[in-house]
Amino acid sequence: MDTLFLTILNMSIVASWVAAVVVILRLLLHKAPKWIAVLLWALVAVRLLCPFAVETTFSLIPTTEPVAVEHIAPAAPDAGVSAVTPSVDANTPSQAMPDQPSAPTPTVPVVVATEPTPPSLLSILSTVWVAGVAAMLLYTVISYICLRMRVREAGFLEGRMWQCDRIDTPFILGVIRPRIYLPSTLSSGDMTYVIAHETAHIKRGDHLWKPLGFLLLAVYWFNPVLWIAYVLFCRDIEFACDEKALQTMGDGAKKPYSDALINCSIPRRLIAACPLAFGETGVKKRVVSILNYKKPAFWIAAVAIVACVAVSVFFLTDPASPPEQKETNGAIVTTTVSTVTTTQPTASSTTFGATEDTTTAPTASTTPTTVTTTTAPSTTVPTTINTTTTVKTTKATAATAAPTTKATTPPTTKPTSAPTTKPTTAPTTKPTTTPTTKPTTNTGPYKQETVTPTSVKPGETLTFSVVIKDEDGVNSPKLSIYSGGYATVGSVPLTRVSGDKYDGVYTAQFTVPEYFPAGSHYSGRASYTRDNKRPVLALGGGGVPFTITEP
Amino acid sequence: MSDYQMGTVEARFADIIWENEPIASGELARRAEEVLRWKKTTTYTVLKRLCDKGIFQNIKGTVTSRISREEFYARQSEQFVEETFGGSLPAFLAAFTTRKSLTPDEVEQLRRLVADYEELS
Repeated sequence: MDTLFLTILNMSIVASWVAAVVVILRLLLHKAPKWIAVLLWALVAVRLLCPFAVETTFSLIPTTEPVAVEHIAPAAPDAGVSAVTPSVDANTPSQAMPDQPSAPTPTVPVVVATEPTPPSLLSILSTVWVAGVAAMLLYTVISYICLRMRVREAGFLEGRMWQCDRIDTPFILGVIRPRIYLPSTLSSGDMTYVIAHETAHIKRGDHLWKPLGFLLLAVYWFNPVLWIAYVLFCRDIEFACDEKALQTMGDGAKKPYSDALINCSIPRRLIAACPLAFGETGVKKRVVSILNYKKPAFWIAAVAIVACVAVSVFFLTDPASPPEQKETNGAIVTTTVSTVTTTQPTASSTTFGATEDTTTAPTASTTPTTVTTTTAPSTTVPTTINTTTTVKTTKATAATAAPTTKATTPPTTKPTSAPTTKPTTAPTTKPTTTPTTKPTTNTGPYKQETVTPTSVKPGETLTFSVVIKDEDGVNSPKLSIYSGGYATVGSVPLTRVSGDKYDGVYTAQFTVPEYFPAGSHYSGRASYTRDNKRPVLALGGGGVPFTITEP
Repeated sequence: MSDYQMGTVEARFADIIWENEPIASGELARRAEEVLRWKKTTTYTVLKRLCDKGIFQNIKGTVTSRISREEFYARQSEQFVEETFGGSLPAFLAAFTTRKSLTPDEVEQLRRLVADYEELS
């Protein structure tokens, strides 16, 4: 859930940039047919629906990860551990030798005593977000039910038109079989034009797009830019619909059409999710627009289409990942178990009678990747490349693109290096990974953790092995144990068993306390400080995971 | 019995009863479904409401009217003139004729109406 929210947050920020661009474009193209503005909003929606996109060098998106997990989920290992380090360090000499597994035990309980860390900021925000989405969906469902109740006594007229005593403005309800509801107080003169307008809506598919837009808004409710985008989107739909209706009826209909519009306009709430009501949106502007309507010159449409294509290329593609990152991808074959955090879509939304077409599935399916990728703007791409589905692979490459831009934007630096995910038994993975991924030139820091075994009973001991290469030197390396990826349970120092401080292999033992619950997941993530105290940018994925089994 | 308002759709339903009374409630529901595409529950709900208003009555499954269609609309007009013109018919006619002038035919009809009325009283 936390990682899902983080993806959502990042996607909404990226989409906001696109939305801002669309607002500007809309102003520039205000003389162009309005269906183009609607199309531009559709592009924003695409950005909101797809967590990943084709990478091109044309992308004007600064980063697909403006908010990385370190920003709002301070792993707080430093805070928690520093209090503990003295006692841990005191035992360091005895822990240097692997054959003293009992040594760490006394220190760990002390470490864990500091464990009741408050829920991270990310968890709190995620919970608030879910509550918001639930509220929005509840509102949608309730207002839909209210409308359905009101038109229960509507009498059939013909085709898809119904007449109702209890409504005062015409609207469309229904997604699969949209019905036009007309108030009985509608004068017969106005009726022709109202019907023309509502039919144009249905022909344009607005009875689908508008609820879909609102659904996206429900998911991204926290972003004010997107609310503005939705309001403008609704307005543009109405303008485009007026244009289409007038096209069908001809110029002579302009005056009576705007009369009908004025007659039907009744002050209503600004954001109404469901009905495509006739007189709802910005009546004055619409009347002006209708009376001034002319078939647009060909070149305006051409310019507008070019603008759409440009927006697509520049903003629907993600920034490309840098070459040197790709080199170190090497051929590490790691099977990531990071997909532990599978989340299901929170809502199967029923909008206006259609349960099948609007779900939040797309965002949920990419949840697993974010566990690793949001913390991995680094060289250790391998971890993410070999995740199980192709969807994840592309997200991974998108995420690795982040580092290049992070260099230009204020760096998201934290002293901790992000963990890499590398489960499976050490013997099998280590031989394959070390030779293939060792960079010939030390182009950047590199860290890889492994653990044996990957599932333990409480009371048993885990052996961690970490390869760290860093031109700036590795000092005071330690391995922190994380519960769920953010809360630190404790840490043990790492001792070097081979190599040197610039390129070495480290090891640490950790005995699982008796009270670790069976079935729970933890991970071990290594961190260190450099000679020059330069902060270590997040490296790798979320640490190497291990599971607790029944005692 | 004081409210003679009816929405257009309700009026369509009332017409079904007026044109077919006495009618079994089941048959009424069937016709309402045919003409208005109403569910049975809707039919019964609206029927109950109209019965409570005193326009129709449902006795042992048979629906009949308590006031005729003509009388209903007469009372409705009366209510309208009462509410809008303080009960003054001349005021209503004056207002009516400011927007549309009466055709010679209509003037003739009015004259005969007044004449018949005077004869009776």
